[in-house]
Amino acid sequence: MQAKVPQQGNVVIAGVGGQGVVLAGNIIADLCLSHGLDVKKAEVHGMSQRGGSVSAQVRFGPEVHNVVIEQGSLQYVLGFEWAEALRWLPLLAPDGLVFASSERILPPAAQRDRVAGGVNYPLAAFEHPRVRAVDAESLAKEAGNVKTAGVVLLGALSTELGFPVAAWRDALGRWVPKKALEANLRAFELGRAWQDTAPPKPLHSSPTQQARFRLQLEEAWCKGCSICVDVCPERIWQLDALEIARPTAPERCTGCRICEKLCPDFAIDVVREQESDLLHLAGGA
Amino acid sequence: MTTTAKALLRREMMPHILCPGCGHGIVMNTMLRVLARRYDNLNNVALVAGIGCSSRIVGYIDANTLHTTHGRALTFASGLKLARPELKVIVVTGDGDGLGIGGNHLIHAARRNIDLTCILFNNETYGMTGGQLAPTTVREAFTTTSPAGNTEPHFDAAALATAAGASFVGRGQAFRPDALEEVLERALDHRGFSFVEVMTDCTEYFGRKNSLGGGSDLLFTQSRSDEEVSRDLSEWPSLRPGEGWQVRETQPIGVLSEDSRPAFEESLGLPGYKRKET
Ligand code: SF4
Ligand code: SF4
Ligand code: SF4
Repeated sequence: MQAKVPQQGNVVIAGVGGQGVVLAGNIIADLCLSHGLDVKKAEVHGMSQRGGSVSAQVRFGPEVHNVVIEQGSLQYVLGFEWAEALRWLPLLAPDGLVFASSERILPPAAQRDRVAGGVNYPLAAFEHPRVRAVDAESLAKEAGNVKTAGVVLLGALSTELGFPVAAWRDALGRWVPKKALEANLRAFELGRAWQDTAPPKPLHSSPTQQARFRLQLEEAWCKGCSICVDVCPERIWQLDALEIARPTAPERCTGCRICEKLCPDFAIDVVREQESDLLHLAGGA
Repeated sequence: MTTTAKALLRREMMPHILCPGCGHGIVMNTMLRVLARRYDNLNNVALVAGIGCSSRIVGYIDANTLHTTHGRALTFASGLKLARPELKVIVVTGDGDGLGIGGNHLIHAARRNIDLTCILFNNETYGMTGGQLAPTTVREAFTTTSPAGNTEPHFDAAALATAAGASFVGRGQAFRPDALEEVLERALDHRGFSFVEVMTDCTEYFGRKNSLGGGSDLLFTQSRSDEEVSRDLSEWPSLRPGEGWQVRETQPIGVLSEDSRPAFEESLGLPGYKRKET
């Protein structure tokens, strides 16, 4: 059943650099304009080179004076990246909807503990009644071009934001490159036929977290001077009740060896794990 | 400490006697790393030391070690080197031992340009004997024998060695072990008298008496800038660390001077040394 053509509303498209966030905003704005609506659009980008947020905000109606979307009035969020989508929840209207790709792209800043592959991705297991997790990446692959994930989400949005399907297709035709149009139209259809594909997928493109360094302590040599406690950039060492150094979170060790080099009592040994040990840890052959 | 460096220790002697957080341990740690990189075993290396906390460390290293009398490490080492020129001789001494009691021997070893390496641990005090004033103690610093603050100027050990004719002079800090490692490598590569002054810390006496804290607090003072020192002093007027902190930071580190004039052994034409005229 086709929803009613909206007379006013707003949409936020959120993602990271390179995902086509700005393009998707242009398509929606164009669609609204083609229905004689007044449109205001704002974009936040420029941090995209560093894996930072990119967003586009579109407001439309008979007459729009201001681009700002007030708290509690945001109608639709198209999230091209899971965490970027969830950032907008505070603005969402009670009946608003979030279509969030379950794809997760790790921003550099999320690599808090600086162990390669060790990540701290927020909201990994998040559920919210107004958030729909869409496996846009798989659907885009099915459409024949992984870059059409954003259009999958536009397809999903089109089932709620009731402009005529033909108008959506025309708008797409005006904005996507000609040779990719076919795949984009397929992606749009797949998005329309979308089903909520929660739960979110496991982390995208990040190796599993593994301790690559083992911290060994020559207990009888440690004199509890606390130099290691103060110099470790990862704050791994602590003194126990007997004033002996103990590694509290050895898996966070980056192998910088500062503790080893500054221990006056040679008590610390930072051992790089051999490949074979890693295989063993991973339960491999 | 890496396995290869650890293999150079006399394990049965460990743990060593140095106080918790003593900077000497860090310098020794660095020395062992350098030695482990250069040698599989220390059979052809002789470590000669005088008396003091720093001199004590040679007892823990599985090399040919000689623990001598106060201030005379360089004289024993010179004799040893001339009798056994094939040995790599390294002298480990402190500021009290090498500059106070044995200052005379230092300038003459430098003047002769004898091919050995002298590593002088400068902790600005006599640690082992109870924290007395040393020739390296900075003005206003408190020691057991300067309870009202030191009134004498201090020696700049590296400048002294350069003036006396050492053909290699470098300086390092316990706080910057990587930089120290590099200076030690270069010193050991050098042919002729190489002198390395290492700024280290006596937590037990110098740190305590001058309210510089122990362990890492004291260690971090080696990286203090003048601004930080003046800020600390204005915030904590009861502190009276004298010029100590400033001296630590404003002293340059690295290789300070190097020249290739013939070593003493070369002018004597000793075995293993091609004769060169001075
Ligand atoms: S630096 Fe060494 S001696 Fe000091 S507390 Fe740490 S492990 Fe112990
Ligand atoms: S090597 Fe030592 S100082 Fe560096 S991260 Fe690991 S525990 Fe911390
Ligand atoms: S007395 Fe001072 S120099 Fe000697 S071991 Fe203790 S802290 Fe180190």
